[in-house]
Amino acid sequence: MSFTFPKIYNFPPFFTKQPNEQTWSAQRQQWVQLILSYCRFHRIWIMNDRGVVLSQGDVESESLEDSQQDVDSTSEVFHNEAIDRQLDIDTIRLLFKEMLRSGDVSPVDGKSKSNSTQYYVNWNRPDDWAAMVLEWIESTGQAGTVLTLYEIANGDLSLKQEFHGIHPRILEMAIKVLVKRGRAQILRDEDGRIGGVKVQ
Amino acid sequence: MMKRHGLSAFDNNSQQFTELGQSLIRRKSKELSTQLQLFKQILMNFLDEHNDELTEDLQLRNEFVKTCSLVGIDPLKIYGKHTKMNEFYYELCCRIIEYCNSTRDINGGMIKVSQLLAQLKESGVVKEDIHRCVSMMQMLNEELQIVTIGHHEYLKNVHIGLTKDQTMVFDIVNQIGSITSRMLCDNLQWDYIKCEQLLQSMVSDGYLWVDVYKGKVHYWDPSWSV
Repeated sequence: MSFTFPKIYNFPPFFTKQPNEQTWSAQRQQWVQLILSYCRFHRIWIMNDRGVVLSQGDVESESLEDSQQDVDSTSEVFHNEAIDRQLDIDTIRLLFKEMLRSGDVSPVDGKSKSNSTQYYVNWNRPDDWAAMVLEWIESTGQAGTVLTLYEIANGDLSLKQEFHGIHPRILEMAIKVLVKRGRAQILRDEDGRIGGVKVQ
Repeated sequence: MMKRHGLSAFDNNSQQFTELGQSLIRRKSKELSTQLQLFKQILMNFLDEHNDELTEDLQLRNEFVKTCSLVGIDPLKIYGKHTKMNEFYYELCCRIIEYCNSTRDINGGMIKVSQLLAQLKESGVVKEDIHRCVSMMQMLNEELQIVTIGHHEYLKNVHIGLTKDQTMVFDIVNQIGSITSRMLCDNLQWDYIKCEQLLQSMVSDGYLWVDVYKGKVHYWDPSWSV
């Protein structure tokens, strides 16, 4: 099964930023919707602000992040070969800035929020991931036990969960939501990395 | 196979229980959906048989519509045209306005009647219904008009009238999807500057979309995007 693009994807002006402010705001909404549903379909975790996919599919460990293929090829979502149109980089940047503002993406480099060039795409918001993980932990009777992030994301028990194979850093964001709500405790290892989580 | 004892004996069982449970749920939901289907059918029959009462008795009608919407019957279907109820048109008026408003930023308030019909296809709405609704709504909103450009009818939902020049551009763009300033001035024997200004003004009114392709600017009719 392949992703079904909306009809507007085949409308050539969709790939030119509209000069009319009102039209652009409608166009922008369509783009954000398209990016999110495309990333959801292909389970894309990270994109950079030139529209290149950096992390996708089930992530087993963070080291995979380095094995980027086709570093310079913009995702097909921004490049419609059939009608030979491509959204220019400036507009893609603008879209990501807008999505950052609305919480549809989060900066990969958490500290430098404004000049980040890589983004986690939140086709599920951290809040939503948190709710899923929490529900799964409760329904499988694992509340109160210490789980590693790997067990949550890649263990056999979570095979059928939407968050199975989730990017570890996105899972971290979700866990931090739970910590904030007082539902989880983080246990760190000697290097200060998250070793395990206890949810109750 | 050797019979397993102790904790391991449970492994297989739990699998069977899951399957059994799932098949029960499937059967149950199938039964329910059949019942719901039947209930809908009965409601529609009731509508046919008691048309007059429903038309006259407002309270009965309200209750009926409430029940119908609970089980997922589209009000437009209830107020089918064979009944004497004006509600069909009231409901349709609302749908038209809703759709116009939601697409206004995309098409600047000019919407093809055929596009509207495609949107309402499931409710069996025909062109005459839309005409009737528009004339009903004109009392409330004079801006709403049906204008014919070339062979196509448009529902116009903006207060600015179209100029004769704009109408001509609409006609051409509609047939071929897009146009450049050069094409326009070749076709209509107009001044190039005039064509350029006209097209750009239509972009700022939201009627046309710009497509910059290989250094050339093409102007597109947004109704080609759906």
